[in-house]
Amino acid sequence: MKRWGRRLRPARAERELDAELRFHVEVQTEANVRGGMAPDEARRQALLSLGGLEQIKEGVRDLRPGVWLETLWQDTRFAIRLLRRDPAFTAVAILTLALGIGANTAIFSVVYGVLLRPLPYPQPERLVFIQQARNESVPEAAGRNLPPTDDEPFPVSPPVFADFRAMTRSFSTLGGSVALTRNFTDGEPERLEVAAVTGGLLETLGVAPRLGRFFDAADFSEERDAVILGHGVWQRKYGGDAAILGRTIHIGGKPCEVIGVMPEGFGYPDQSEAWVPLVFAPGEMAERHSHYLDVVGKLAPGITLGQARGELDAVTRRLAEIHPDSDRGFGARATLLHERIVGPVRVPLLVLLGAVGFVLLMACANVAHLLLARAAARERELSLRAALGAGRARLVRQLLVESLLLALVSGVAGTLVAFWGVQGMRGLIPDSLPRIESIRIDLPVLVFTLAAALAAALAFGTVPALRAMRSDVSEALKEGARSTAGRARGRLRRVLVIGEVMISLVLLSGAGLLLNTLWGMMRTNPGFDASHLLTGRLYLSGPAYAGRQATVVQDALDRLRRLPGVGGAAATSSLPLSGGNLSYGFTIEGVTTPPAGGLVMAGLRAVTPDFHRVMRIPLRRGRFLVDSDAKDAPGVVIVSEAMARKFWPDQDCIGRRIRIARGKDPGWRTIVGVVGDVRHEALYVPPQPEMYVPYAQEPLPAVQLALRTSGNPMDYAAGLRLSVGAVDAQLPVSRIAPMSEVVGGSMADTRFNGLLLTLFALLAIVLAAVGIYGTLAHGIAERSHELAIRVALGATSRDLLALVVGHTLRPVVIGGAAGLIAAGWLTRLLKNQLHGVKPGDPATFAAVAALLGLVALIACYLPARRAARIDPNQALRHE
Amino acid sequence: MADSKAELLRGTLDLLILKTLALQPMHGWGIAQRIQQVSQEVFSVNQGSLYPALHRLEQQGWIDADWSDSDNNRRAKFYRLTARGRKQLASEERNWERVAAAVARILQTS
Repeated sequence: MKRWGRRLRPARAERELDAELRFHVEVQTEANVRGGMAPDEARRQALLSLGGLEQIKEGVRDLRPGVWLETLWQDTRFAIRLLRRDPAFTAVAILTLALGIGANTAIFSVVYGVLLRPLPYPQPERLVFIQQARNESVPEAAGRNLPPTDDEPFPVSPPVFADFRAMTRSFSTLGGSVALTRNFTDGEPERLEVAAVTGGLLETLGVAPRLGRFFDAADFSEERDAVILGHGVWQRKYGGDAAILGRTIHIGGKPCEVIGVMPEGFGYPDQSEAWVPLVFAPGEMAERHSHYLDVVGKLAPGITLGQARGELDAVTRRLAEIHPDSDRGFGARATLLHERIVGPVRVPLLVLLGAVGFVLLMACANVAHLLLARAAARERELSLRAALGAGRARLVRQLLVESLLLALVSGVAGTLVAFWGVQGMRGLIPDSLPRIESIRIDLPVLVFTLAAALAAALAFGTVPALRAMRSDVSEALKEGARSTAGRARGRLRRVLVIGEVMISLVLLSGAGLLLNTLWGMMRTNPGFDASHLLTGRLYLSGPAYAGRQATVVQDALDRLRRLPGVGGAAATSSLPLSGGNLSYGFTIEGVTTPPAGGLVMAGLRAVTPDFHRVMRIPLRRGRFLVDSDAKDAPGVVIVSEAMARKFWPDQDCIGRRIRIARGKDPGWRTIVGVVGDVRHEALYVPPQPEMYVPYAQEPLPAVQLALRTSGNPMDYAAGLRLSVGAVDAQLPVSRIAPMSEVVGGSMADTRFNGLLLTLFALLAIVLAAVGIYGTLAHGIAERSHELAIRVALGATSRDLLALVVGHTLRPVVIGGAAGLIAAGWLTRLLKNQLHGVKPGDPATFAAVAALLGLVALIACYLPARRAARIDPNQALRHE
Repeated sequence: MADSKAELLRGTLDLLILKTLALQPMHGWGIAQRIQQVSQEVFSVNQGSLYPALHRLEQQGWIDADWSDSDNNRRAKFYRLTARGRKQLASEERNWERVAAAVARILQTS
């Protein structure tokens, strides 16, 4: 009982120990006096015989139960006192580390959310994504809409899906889906992501509806129209009312019965908000090349991915024998669903993580700088404590506790930085990044933060601690000793500078290359004028619009043109850079053999007559489309310069006729005009051949509107909605945005990676500058004596400058050279993100090296100038 | 703090303290004195190890301590053997004798 009491009251135990040792000294003193010593001497001897009071206390303290906690607490209190005594140092260190740790946590939250977090389905490791692919090139039939490359897999066609189902044993279930969008016309009309799914999809994913049921055989056989709602829509549009089951809602103008609601967070594929049964049209089972199904399967128990692949290969070989005309040369590809979703973004994200890891390394290097600088001042304190009986291990522990404390406080601050950083990044994250919804700062991410903080503490804390272990006590206690420790510190700091310069160069090179790419894109002329353009989307699908699309579009455009401030309005089936590119094969009248170099294919757009005028796409030859190019008028087409150049290289194509392989019985179309090239695909993809047909002659259901406005385009958003609503109250206008945003969106990936890398590089360069400055300033402070002697012996200030700067620039130059080599090697990771620049671009590297050199010179100049002004009298008297 | 006197084997100090306290309760200084006297100045107890040793034994429950007045009317911390300490002393003594006898035998055979 008593012992417990002591454990709980360390202060009392401490007092008792003091009293006990005091008693010992007194008794010993008396004994010494009895033995004939002078009282003073007697006491001194008594103290000596005790062998260092403090050391005994340490020895006894170390035995106390729970003692390590207690000493930890003491060390912590001492560390807090120290940190508070030197607020400037503490603030700089914590700020540096918090930035480093925070940036790392923010990026890690993205990496974890996107790449590492398991998919939100049971047994996600058994989910496999199945595609078809071409094993060997197959002679291309014009109009067969096949991907042009051999290595890109593509979706599965319904008959092949049915074959896979019937012929494979490796999958316990298979399901297919196709992503669509549909107008929800109840209440405020909305455009929603909807997926049409086959039976077996939910079973494969292992998810059950939260309310109601999944589709049954009747739903898949056109007997009734059923829909399953996503949790979000159910809450947003129907107030989370459980009575929704059995209600009829209107989707794409069709009445559908709600038969189920999915649980929260379910959105397969890509953020779908509702699901409808996929009903195959009659005759579709004969269309072996209508590839549109995304197929996912669940591996049967005990079956590996490799076995499943082997079986799929065997099945596709069988199918090639059964259907030699259509299936020859086709195979299947199976990848884990997770890999399929995150595979394309893995490298860019890991590059970012690596970059931000470098930033943390630099932050640690800088804090190590600071600690080393402080170590000089603390060497005496440490030696004193060693002399007073602190064991070496205890001193090292004390230093590590200081580092840990610093790191943990920084970790907490860094978490705040990370929260703020993730908020900031949300606006930047490109749509191409999957699983954005699972990016959040939660336990695994915070564990990473803690690990980062601990690793940082070890990284910057061990350096001074090791120095303390080695430093010679008596040496340091000598007043004004220029100990070897000083020289060793100088060496260490130079190594740190080399590392910092190297890392900065690598980061700067990467950032430079991406910025170069971005800059190149921004300078690219897209072929149209994106300023003051407002865009929006309409979907005229479903029976409600059958045969009326052109009229509806016409009426809407007429109203839009009447809005004050609108200089023109046009519609197209797909705006440039908006990601919807349809290519079609075509035949040229009188030409039977395809031209050298491949496919007779071109992009197709259905546009209203003044589309080119509104977009300011220049006319090169012939004429624009006009109102009289109506539905029953002769078929006409306008081609882009690239198309004219490719298919009619040395003749005028105006008046020539082509037949586009679209629809049942396409007629001939006469080329009436040639317009300037437009970058439809991406700003870095050279313009492709394009065809423009009158919308009245090809009324595609997906329509994008473009309004030429004066002033801020978004001021016209309400007018756009009202005008369309006046034509058709059931017709939602989705994705209303200025064209400049559409163009910007096409650069979002590059911008995201480029901006972040640039941010990290700037952080790195600031840290490097601080590091160089600090190293030099300390070097000069330590050498002021020597410099003063040089001055006294006749060195000019220029000599001093050369000496000092030369000394400091050497590590900068070494680091720079190493950095360039490393950058040349590491920037290859960016290869897929660079356009118009090569990874080892010498101009970028030169610019980066020059920038870093300049920063290093500035960081050198300030302390060096001080060194040059050394007054020998003062410096020497200082001794 | 190296002594010119014989170094105490590790663990031996504990045994000596227990043996000393088996006679009567004592304070730290007294224990050191007694060990020195009885060993005829062969051992000089290094105080730096004495007090940690006392606290170690106290933690193991082999000795216990009370504050009371010493013969010169100052408060001192007196240590005394507990029942468990007695058992421990007995077993350590046996152990010591075995070891010492073994060492002696080896030394005599050479």
